[in-house]
Amino acid sequence: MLSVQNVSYSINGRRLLHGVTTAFSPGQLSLIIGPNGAGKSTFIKLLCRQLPPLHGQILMDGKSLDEYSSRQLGIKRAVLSQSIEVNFPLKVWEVVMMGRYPHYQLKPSAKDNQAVEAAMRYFDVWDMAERDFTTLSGGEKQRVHFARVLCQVWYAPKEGCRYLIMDEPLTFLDVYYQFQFMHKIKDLLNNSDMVVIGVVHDLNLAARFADKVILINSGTIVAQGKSSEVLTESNIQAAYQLKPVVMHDKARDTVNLFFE
Amino acid sequence: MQQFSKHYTAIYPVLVALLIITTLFSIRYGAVNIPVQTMYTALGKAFSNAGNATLYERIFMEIRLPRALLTVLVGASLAAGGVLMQALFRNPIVEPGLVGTSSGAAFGAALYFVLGATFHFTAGEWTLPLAACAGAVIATGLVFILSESGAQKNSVTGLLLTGIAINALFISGVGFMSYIARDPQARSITFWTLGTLSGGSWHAVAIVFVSSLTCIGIALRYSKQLNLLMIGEDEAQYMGVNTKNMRRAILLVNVIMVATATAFTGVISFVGLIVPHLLRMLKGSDNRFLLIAGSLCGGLLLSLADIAARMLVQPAELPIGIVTSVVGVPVFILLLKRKSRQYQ
Repeated sequence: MLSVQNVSYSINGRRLLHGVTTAFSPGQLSLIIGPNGAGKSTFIKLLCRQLPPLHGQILMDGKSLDEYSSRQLGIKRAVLSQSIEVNFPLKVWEVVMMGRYPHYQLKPSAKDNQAVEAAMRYFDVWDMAERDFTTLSGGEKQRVHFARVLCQVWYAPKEGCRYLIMDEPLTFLDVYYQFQFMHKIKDLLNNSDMVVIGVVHDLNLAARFADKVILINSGTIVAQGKSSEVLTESNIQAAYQLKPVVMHDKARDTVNLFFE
Repeated sequence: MQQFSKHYTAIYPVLVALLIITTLFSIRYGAVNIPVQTMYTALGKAFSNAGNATLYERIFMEIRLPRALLTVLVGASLAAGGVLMQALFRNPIVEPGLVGTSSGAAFGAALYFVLGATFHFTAGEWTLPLAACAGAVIATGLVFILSESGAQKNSVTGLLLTGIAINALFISGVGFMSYIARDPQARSITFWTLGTLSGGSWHAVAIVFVSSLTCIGIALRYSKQLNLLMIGEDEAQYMGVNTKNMRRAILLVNVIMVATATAFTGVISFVGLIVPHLLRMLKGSDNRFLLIAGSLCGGLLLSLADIAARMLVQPAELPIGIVTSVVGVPVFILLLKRKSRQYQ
């Protein structure tokens, strides 16, 4: 469980986040949405301890984030950031293996090797294992990074949950891989100790897959909860200045949005 | 299940063998050729403390052998420094001198020559390296302190840009020194900024030996963390690395290693740039491999350059920095061309 209690953050007197309170539970997919400049990335950075909260606190498994060492965090929490550039020739498996670095000292154990292979097979990059990472397409690179962060939290930690935090993971993917990725993430959540948090731009994907939608606007959480409760006409119009048509999908207990 | 690992073991013995052969060659041949027999007798006499060495035995023990060893150690230091800086800056076209180390050392030496002329003291075996080392530490320290404050705080870009600015400052400082220096000092400054291995004494060998081995040993402990830096500073943090502490440690290791090497030989460029590049093309980017193979390869390359520097214009010798630049620049341009083709 990752719980965020009344967290604020500002830089040079400009308030980027204000009074944010929410919780991310195991077995749930929480997706953060909001317009550009709403504070989504700042929020993710606070969750990852890249920025310290000015007020409030963030507790991971009941313990403040500050109390963890870098390595302790690396063992139970994986983060995928938005854009990653690599200037060096690296084999695909070498990139994925980096996910296991927090878990071994000098040489990867059999467990580490197994996690690398399993994660690569899970995201369909096993066939590229020996290819040079820098020659892959954007979508292929993104899938390799999925495998990397997944193998980082492949095994359940000794205590507490494992966390997967992703900032706009769908950016380089075509529609097929977007859906495939979301389904695979949902499958991962069958592990009862897995917490997955993501930022997405596609509101319909968020509606379709999220167990919890968090709508951020102007540095505060405007609404959070089930997609049908958050993605209402008034919420969307207030946040995006665009009037949607909201269709209720009763069978899936979700909504579809259209913009005119 | 697949075992993920690369097999580097084959390349190490090859490099060691090449290094030994090259070193022996550079000891044996030069302005005078030392017969192998003389090497044996000289070593025998040195260990038994017999004081009746012949001229050739003395050339071997006092000039050739320490020079050859110093060359290998300095080459190793520069190449390992190159590996560290390229990993730290996440940029394969970076040199150890980038954070001000070389230009600082050059300025320290230049200032020493000029002050020496004014106050009538001459370059001693210890004082010149000390002045160079002090210059290197001051310049690198400045880069470090400035990059840790201000808007670009703690970022690699900030460090890189500060390094460029401080380098420019110290290089113009060297220029000013050679401008105000009288003839013999001006020549000394020029000679020193072009690099020379002729100061290879046993003291120098001992000091560079200790510094290079210690620093490379420490750096090896960071090789995994440096690998993570290749995919990003944030990524490294997400995978459990305290990048701030690591950056400090690596910079410190680099400045000690490169400043010590530079202090005894002057500025030798391109070794730290080319060696990691070549090895990466050969066997990939794992920093543990690059550090070990890079040290061997750096020693090898500088030995070859030294042989060329002594053979080409016998009985005089070329400044070693000129040889490494003449070889290094075309290789560097080729690498750049290759790189830009890759991106197209």
